[in-house]
Amino acid sequence: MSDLMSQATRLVVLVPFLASLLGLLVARRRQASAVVASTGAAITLLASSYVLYGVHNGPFTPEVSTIGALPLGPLQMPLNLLVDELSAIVVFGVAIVGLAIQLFTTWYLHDDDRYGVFTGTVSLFLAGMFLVVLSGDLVLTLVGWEVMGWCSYLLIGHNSRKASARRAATKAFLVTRTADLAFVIGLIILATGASTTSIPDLIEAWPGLPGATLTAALLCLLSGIAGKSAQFPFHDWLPDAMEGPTPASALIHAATMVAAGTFVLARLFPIFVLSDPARLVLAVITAVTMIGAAILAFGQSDLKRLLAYSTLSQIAIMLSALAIAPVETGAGPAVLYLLSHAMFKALLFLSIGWLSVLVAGTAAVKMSGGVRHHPQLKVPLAIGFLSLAGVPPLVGFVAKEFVLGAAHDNTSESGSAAGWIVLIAVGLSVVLTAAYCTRAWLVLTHLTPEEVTQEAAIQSSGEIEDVSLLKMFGEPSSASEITPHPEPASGSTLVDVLVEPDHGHADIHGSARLSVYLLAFLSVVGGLIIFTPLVPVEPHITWWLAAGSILLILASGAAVRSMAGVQGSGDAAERLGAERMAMFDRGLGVDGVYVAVASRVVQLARVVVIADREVIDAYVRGTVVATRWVGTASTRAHTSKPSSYLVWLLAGLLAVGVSGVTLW
Amino acid sequence: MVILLLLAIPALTGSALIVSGRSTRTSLQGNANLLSLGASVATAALVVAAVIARPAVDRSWLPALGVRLQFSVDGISAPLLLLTAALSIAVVVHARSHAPHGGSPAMFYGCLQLVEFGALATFLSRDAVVFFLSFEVVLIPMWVLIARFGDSHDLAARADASGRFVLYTVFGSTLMLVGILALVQAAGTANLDKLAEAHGAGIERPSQIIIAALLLVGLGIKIPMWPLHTWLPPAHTIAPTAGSVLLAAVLLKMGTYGVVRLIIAPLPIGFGALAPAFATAGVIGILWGGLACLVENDLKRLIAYSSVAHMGFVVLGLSSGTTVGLQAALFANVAHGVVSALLFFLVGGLKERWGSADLATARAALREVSPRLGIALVVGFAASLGLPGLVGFWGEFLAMYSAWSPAPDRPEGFMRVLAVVAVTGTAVAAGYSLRVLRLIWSGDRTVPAHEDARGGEWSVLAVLVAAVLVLGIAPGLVLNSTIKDVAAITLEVSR
Repeated sequence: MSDLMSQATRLVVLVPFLASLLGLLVARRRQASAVVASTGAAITLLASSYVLYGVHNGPFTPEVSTIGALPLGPLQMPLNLLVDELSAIVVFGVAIVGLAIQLFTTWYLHDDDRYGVFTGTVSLFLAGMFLVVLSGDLVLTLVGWEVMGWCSYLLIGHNSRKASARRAATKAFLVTRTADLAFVIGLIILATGASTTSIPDLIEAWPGLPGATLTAALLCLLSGIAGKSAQFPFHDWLPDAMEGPTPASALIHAATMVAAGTFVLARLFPIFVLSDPARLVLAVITAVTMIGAAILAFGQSDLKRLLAYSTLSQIAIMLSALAIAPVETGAGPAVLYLLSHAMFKALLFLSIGWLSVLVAGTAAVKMSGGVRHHPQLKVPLAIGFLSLAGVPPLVGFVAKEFVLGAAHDNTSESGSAAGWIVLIAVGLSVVLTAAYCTRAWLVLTHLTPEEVTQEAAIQSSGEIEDVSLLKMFGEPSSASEITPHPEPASGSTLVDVLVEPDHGHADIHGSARLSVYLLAFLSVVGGLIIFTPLVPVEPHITWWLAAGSILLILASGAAVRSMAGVQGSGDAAERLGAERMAMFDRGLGVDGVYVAVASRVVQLARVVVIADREVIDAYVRGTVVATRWVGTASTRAHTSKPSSYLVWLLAGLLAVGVSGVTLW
Repeated sequence: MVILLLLAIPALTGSALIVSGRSTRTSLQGNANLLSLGASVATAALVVAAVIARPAVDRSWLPALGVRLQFSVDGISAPLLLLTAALSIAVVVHARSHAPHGGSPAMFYGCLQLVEFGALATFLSRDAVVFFLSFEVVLIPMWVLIARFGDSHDLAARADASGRFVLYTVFGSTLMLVGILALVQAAGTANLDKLAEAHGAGIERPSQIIIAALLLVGLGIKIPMWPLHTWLPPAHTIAPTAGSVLLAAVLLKMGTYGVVRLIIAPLPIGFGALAPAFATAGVIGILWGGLACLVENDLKRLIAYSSVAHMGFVVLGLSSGTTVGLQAALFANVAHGVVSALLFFLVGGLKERWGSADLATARAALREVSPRLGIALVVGFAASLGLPGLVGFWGEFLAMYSAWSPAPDRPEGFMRVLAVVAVTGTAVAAGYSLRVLRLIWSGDRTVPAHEDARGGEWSVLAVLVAAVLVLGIAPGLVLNSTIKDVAAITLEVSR
């Protein structure tokens, strides 16, 4: 049992890695790479199910060796994996989303000539995430962390023929890498204090070490986490990352990279709670991101970017749970939120991706009324948005209540500033989230007056497509019907950038459809997980908080409904005015700040190059000149005239004589 | 026996080829590559045997000077010997399809063999004077490679680069020779093992500092360490692919290897006093080289500057005086050997295809027209920016760790500042790596098309890519080899 468990744990990381290597080797044969990627994801899911089963049944060894400890003298670096309840359930959740995304991609990128490379990179990305989650060693965490960062670069820049995709990819990597500088320092401080990189060991050691140093280390870690999780002030890379194909967005947003920071902090929670200043900083960062991103989400003219901003806001809620959870509550609420967000956000991205194929674009104007014309998407999108808004009994509601509950516990027990900040911010974000979800839904279901009449006629003739569950899981369409869609075309304005060319009504694969509905199903019933021992939380909801948040959601929804009206595009955000929306689309110009920083560095680089040539190398060239000068001078001395040599000879004799006399 | 044989093969092959370069017998000329390949393979097999069996040679050579021919393999030299032997095969295989112009093939391969001989002898030598002599053997054949087989577009630049290379490094050698003689004089032995065992006992602190300073400047030129690096970019730019590869992957390593053998082991107190300055130079090099790469427009120069940055991490690790730091430095040394070899093979190939290595010229995107070169470039630059999981990571990360927690006699606060600056250097490395990828790897241009890597070129690239991955995933392969001898130098107790 124990041994099998260790093997299964290793497989969870190893299989996606091997699938990625193999996938890249056969990348030119799309059928083969699809099989490798899907099989790899399926085996990973099996292995992770076994791990999940194993941790709850019977004894097992939590620490699993990998490549062996590195010999570094006094520094212990065992490089072990660590499997426990926390990592097992998250690995399972990630494996589900990973499989769903791999299956969806086989359809979504069907005619992409680099499908093989894409899917291989996705496998590698998943391996990185599994490594972070299962890591029991700071160094392994860092390895998985950066592997994900690199894969995000490759995935966002998948369509490298497009300048905007290249820019977005470079921006994503540079911003997160810059944020990671402090992360690396933080890891080094943690390892130095405990003389080990093993996470269980350093959790044991740090409570006895200086608190100020710990706070410094944790603040450094927070910088890296803010970078990868796209929190203020490093958040601006994520909306641009929408340049990646939709499955890549689903992967980055839902279960992996941006959520990884939450897990790393959850893993280090026992020492994170020791530092109140670090917790307060996290509370402030997340509160700012939570509210700012939700407001920006409301004003986005592109629905995919709306989802991107909603991710920022949601990840902030996830992280804020760690800023305020009382010690005895632990990291449970945050991890529950991570899982819940993984399901419904993957669902939303895949559904929006699916719809974007059908309506040829992700801009709000393109998508307007999309659900009416493509009713098979009505159920998944509805579930996704309801869950995002936190409507009971969907998984999003359950998870949010736990975060609110933790914040409430914090304020009533210790009454720390962090607790109040988070409680108020999450309360506000409930309103704002409901607002942008309502807006998106109203856009998607909008009907122009003419369409209202047509709709009535169709419904009376009973021709509307049947969306019963049976049909949802229906047989795959034949290959000839598939009109896969290409990557977004180039364009100049932001709205155009994300518009994808119309390829008619591409029919979806059975397996891709299945993956969407699987995620929808989990988003509905996922909340039940709190009644199982799988997640370390007490199945307990503060009812007045729940009732309050439901009221807030309803009020906010109604307000947006009245803003939208029935005229025009049905987009409530148009009330903001075109200028403000353009400003929102630009993310309030944060990109400009990044560019300014980068150009300063380049200026410094120019100075360095000049200094290298004109100062440092000047000495080298100077030696040449000096040597030549000495050479010339000594050549001059050798005049080939006997008379001058005689003069030198006499002078020499004189010198010898004088020195002989004086030294005598 | 094995050791003498493995030194004799490249030495004799090299001399024979160079001598025959003057003759007009075409048969040998035509077969120079095959002969050279055979010699390199045989040498590599013997190196592997020597690394496994660890034989030792000890013969009297110059009794009047007390110089002995002492050769042996230990954990520190083993990875470098393997690297040298493997890359010597790689350059010969690569040159099969990409022979440089400028002189007779026999001359070219002869020089390669002599460089290999010198490098192997340097890493094997256990006698400080023999170490120095082996070190110098490398310079002239390398000069020939640059001056005769280098880029002939600009003859003045070629003469300048090769002259600068040889004069600058000979200047370094002079300092090193003085240092070695002073060291041997002060310690009373030229045997590196005995010097290491003594840990500087019997040499006064002031003499330790003076000798260490002489040696540090001398070897610092070879490494090259900021601000003694300006010979490197022109040499790399002009040198033929094989020359660049050996220069970066083997010659630079000899400098850092020398620091360990001649300074850190025998002169711990002297080195400790100079370590903060040495580390500062290294860290300035990290930022300096990285920043230069951000705006450098010649791809070969760019990689040369990135070498300066990478060697900065080695210097930082060496300066920390801890087991972690030395392990980091020795690993980073090997890592840089693999990565820079990969990048110089790639860039050399690209320069040949493009006709220049200018980044400002619009080219076909590698990803579109030559996916093999493209993937090798992606892996190469990912490793170059120190991506965890690839070979570049371990050395850099451990070097930063060691600077954060240096040996007790180092100024801790100062070293920590250096660690922070070094970390910043990794972001700059990300910046220049992505810059290059954005300029030549991604894009939508498909003209002017060039052919992808095939045959010998592709197999060399593939092997190096595999090495980047394998050593990145299993760093223990190198670290386990070096730990015993490193622990003997630092005298730190393992837990």
